[in-house]
Amino acid sequence: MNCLNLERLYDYLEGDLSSAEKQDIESHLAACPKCRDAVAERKRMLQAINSLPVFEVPPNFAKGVMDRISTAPLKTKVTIFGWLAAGAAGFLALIAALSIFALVSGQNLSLFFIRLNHGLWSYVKDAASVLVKIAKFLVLAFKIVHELLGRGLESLKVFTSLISPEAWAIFICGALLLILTVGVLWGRRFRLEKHHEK
Amino acid sequence: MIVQRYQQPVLNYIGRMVGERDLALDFSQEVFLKVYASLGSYRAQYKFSTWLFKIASNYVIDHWRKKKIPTLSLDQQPEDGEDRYPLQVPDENPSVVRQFELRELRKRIDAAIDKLPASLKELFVWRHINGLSYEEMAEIKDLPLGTVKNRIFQAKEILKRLLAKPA
Repeated sequence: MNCLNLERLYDYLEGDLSSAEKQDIESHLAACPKCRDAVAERKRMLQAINSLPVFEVPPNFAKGVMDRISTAPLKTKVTIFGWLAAGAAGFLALIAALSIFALVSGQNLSLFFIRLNHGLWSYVKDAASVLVKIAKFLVLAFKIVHELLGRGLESLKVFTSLISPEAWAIFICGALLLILTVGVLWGRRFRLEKHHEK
Repeated sequence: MIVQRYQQPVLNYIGRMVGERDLALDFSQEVFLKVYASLGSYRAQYKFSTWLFKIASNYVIDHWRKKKIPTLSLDQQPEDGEDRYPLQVPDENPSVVRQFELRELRKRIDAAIDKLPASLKELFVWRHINGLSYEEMAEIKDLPLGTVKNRIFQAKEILKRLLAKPA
């Protein structure tokens, strides 16, 4: 048998081998002082590791946790049913509050709700007419922008047809050169500023 | 009660990971609060301790991220050349571990564990301080079993090298 593979050596020390494998290793160890030393060394290390003292838990630790649990607000995830239930509860509470208000102020309950309904309906109608006006304005604005863009595109087409391909090539090269020069100068300035900061 | 049953293993794990008892106590308390708040998401097909250690591990990793302590990715190989080992026994030197008494050795082991890369330390602590099985660790960290075994093997050999250095 060859000298021990270190991973197998740990498996042997931790009892993770079959009895046949264990026997093989033990017979090799009996004949190989180098492996015996390696095993003994790691065995002592593992024994020391396994006997490391534990962190002492204070006697009131669990009580402290439970106190915090009872005082800390619990963050729970609200489901869709939770939201629906909360909405329904809010609606019922509003109806109850309005009913109480109507009774306390001496009004007829059904007349009070009819008046309230009419009032609310007029608000809804006003809001709807404002929304329609906003929508009309947006459609008009879109039409104007569309028209302007179309005209701009047409003009660009006419303009490009007037310029020769050579002139275009010179223009593009010039633009790239300008961008490159500005980039290099900017980078240099940035480096110089950094240098001064240091 | 959950807290009483798991307070010692959680404190042992967090204590070895952060190295300070007071901080470990605070963190352990926070972990139990998180466990309580997340009880609704616990699924009975998983072992409770596995789920709890997953929460504790995430908490410790968050702490390191906030403190910007570099952690070694579990997929990453250690950079230090000393962390790679030949698989045959090469040691020609006389045993250094024999030079120390158990008490002295424990102190040095404590200091050496602190020096382990975070991801190796975590697995090592679970295995040798908490006594978790390789399978449990693989499930907590969502890693292949072979990777977990290899990481723990590497941690032990790094410890051996660290212990071999003069104090």
